[in-house]
Amino acid sequence: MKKRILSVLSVLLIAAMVFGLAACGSGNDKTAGAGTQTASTVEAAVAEVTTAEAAEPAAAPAQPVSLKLWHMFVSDGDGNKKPFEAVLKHADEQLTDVKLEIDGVDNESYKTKIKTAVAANDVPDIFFTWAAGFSKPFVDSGKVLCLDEYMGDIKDKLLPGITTNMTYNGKVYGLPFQMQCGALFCNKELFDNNGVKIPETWDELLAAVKAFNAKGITPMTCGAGDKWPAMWYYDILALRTAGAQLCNDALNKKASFNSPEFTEAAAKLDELSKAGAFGKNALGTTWDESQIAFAEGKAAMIYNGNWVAGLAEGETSKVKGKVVAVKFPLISGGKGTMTEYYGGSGDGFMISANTVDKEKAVKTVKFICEDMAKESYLAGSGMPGWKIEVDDSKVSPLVKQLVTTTKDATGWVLWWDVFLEGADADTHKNLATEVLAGTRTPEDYSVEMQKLNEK
Amino acid sequence: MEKVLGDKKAICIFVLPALLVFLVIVVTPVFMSGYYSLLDWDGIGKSTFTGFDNYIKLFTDSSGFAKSIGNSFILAGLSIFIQLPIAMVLALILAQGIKWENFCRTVYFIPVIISTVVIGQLWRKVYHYDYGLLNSLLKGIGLENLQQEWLGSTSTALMSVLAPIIWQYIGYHMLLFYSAAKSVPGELYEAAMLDGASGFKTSIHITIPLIRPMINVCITYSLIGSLKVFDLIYVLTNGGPVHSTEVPSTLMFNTIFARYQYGFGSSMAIFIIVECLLLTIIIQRLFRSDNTAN
Repeated sequence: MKKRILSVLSVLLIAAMVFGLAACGSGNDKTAGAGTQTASTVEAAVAEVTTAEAAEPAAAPAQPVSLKLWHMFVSDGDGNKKPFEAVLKHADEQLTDVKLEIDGVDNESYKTKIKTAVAANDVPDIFFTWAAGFSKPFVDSGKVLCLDEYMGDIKDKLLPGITTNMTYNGKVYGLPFQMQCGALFCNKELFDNNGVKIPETWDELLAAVKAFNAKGITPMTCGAGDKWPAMWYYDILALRTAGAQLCNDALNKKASFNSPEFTEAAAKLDELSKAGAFGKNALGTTWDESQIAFAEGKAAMIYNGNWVAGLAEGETSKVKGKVVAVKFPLISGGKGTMTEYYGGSGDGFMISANTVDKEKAVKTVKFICEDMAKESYLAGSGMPGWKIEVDDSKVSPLVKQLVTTTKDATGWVLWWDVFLEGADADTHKNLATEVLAGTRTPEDYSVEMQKLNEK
Repeated sequence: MEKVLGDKKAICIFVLPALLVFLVIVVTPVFMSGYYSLLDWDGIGKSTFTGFDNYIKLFTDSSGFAKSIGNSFILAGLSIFIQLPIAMVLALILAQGIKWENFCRTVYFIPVIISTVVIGQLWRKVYHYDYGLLNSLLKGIGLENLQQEWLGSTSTALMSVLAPIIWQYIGYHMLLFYSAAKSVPGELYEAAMLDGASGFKTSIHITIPLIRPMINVCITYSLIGSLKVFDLIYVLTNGGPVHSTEVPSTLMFNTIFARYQYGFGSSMAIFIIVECLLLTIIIQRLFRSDNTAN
């Protein structure tokens, strides 16, 4: 009997320990898994290159500098994954005096990871980051290298104004590689088959929503479970009702959010949501699920960034060649115009102020950004932020269309969650999601948003 | 051996390494969090000392902390009044030595061993609106009108998230009860049988009173576990939609990492610690006073 008890107890003990380990490990599984995997593949690639170099004696006498590089292009759904892998390969081949230690995790985890690293004073030499409010605490803490003195030779290569969102107190702290903008992607096949017109006005948009709902097709997919995709719909509506000038003024705390234009935008979002525009389960859908639904041809429209083109034109897509990108319809009585765009240059690379070798780190970032501008354009996932010359005959018409469309831009508004800082960005995303969910009235939304400006 | 264990110096030397590790890894961060919770700090830049403002903000600000506490208490209630009784019944049945005893014990314990992230992903699929098991089942038996956007609607999300948590740990508590029940001396059952007691009666009058200490442990575990639950909710909804499934830990995580409010988040952490400690003490007291009354 006693032996029996002992054996039961020992099984229990082991189980408790396993359970404890599992519980501790689970939170980081995703992150660590993704990170190590990419790190190891790249390391393998690096190792290959190094052996190749070693085979040619005296080719590189100086010991290469080891630099840490963190990024977030790891998810298979991310159109930038392949181009960035190509860029890293090029960097390995061409930057012989630098050895990069690559570490990548997926988008949402990366946000946490980079913030934690900066807080812990463990900033990688080179890191991907988002512009404006997201990186402001990093720059304010003095942990990011100012790039002003290194900009000389590349100023002419960059598109004008592209570094604006990475400029803090008049100094440039980061290099972007791409422009990004929102567009309403429509599955033309679904529109044609169901006899629906691709919307050019607000009323046509509502009519399309109604028509698709009647056929049991999700009109506009929205991963509101992740909150930011819901915010995208609000922000583009606000751009249409209030116009770029007023949006930027309000974001810069120079104008009030508690004005009819912003309330109107929230009311329009509410109207769309109530009309069933976002399907039956928007709040339980993540961003990845929503874009996959679009690529599977299960949803007629999606309003999101140009990276949707990368997925829609990708190999696994079932809607390849069937997608058109149009401008989000104007709203009658609104101050917005058709030449105002939601997006801009919202991300790029920064360098740690404490990097071991500033010159080489800057050189690497310049190389990576310029090359990434090319590669992401060729892959169809990005609009180049650099003046590049490439043979773009193989680039999908959809991407070319996006690049040429935005040439007439008269105004840009950056994504609000990137423009605003930490807590404010989160509050905005929550409020927009609550309007979409119908748990907050448009009037209430404006009052709460203005509280951010009055803090 | 006896001599060594009787020597206070030797005890100190043997305990010291573990004690040091414990102090550095567990106790110090708690006190550091306690200090951070008094600051207005974004985790990166300069901080300002604000005293107990953060604690006042917990319940006056619109952060929804009070609601998240409420949610965690709902979970605690369900754990104690639904999860533990189920675990107890399973344990008592198994402990009577039925056929397939070992097999069943293992099966019930499987959810405990699987990584929470895996369980979360499984249940996400079960609840999926279009192809989820639950909605397909309802459709299959002609109850289309009961189909729900389980995780996407504010009215069903909380219960949908709590169900897997409860389900997951039934096996854990069952094993604790089972091992305790197995340690009850067999002679007592034999005596009861001779007096004509049925299996049910022996369970009620012999097993349950004798495994009281284990019941105490299980109630404490499930209460504390409920108050600081994080992983499954993080995977399933991350507190959404619209904060309807928010619990203190997810709110704390988002406050620190999405909102850069390190000080405010730390005050939530400290609140959770104090809350757990107080409730543990209360439960211990309740059980002790019961014991003396008997």
